Amino acid sequence: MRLVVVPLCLFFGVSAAAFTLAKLSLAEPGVPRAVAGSVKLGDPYRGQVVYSQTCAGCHGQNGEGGVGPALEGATITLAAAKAQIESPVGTMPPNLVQGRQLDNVLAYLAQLFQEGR
Amino acid sequence: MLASVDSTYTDIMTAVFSSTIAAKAWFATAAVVLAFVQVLTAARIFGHLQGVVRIAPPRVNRIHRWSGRLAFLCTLPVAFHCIFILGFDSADSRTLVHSILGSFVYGVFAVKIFFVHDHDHPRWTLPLVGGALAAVLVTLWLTSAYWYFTEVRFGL
Repeated sequence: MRLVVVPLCLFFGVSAAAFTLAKLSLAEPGVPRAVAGSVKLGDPYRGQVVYSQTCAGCHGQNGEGGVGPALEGATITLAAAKAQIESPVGTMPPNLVQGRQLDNVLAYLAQLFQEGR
Repeated sequence: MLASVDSTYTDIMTAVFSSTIAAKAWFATAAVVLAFVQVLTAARIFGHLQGVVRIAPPRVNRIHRWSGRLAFLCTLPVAFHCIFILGFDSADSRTLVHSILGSFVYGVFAVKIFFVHDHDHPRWTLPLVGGALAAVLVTLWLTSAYWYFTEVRFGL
């Protein structure tokens, strides 16, 4: 009996604790409201993955620039960045990221813009 | 909440790796490699794979214990990132499978440690739980680090 009850309690207890903490995500990064302005921001860590897949080819892995302009320490607003992604000016292809992915990328861009300033 | 912890974690990880996601992928890879060592040495302890693992029992036991401790340590930064920063996610099937199994992994680990210290269980119990733990770790790796290396970028 002990060999069934104790492992089951351990398994469900530890798993439930991990699940609860994951649902709370207590250290989820936020971007200051002043930086975000009226732009809806998502999760910068997920945004970083999308950025690596979609944007880094032109803007550099860490936003240092390449074919496209450098984004690290850039002084443009997030609203302008969002507008550029949604309706690009120049050679940048349109609709590279949309919806929640766009919110996540903008959150990551908010971090990039703040770096190097 | 805990923003300063996140900031410290990010500073430490990006001192070596290009990003926290890359650090997470490499720590997870180290944990899986060590889990592979765990499976091989466990098989040797139970009298199998004598032709493959040519290390005698007292030494193979030490290797098994230390590879397990190191594997556990390697999972800690990954777990911190997953649990406290990213959190539970169900955006697509990959992240859903990863989130569910990730919730279970330390539960399976706790059960395995229980059976390591318990001596009244049937002989097949420990290989079963250890195998389950290795399988969970490999699936977690496939749905995170492997995906990152193949779909995003491979590098530090």
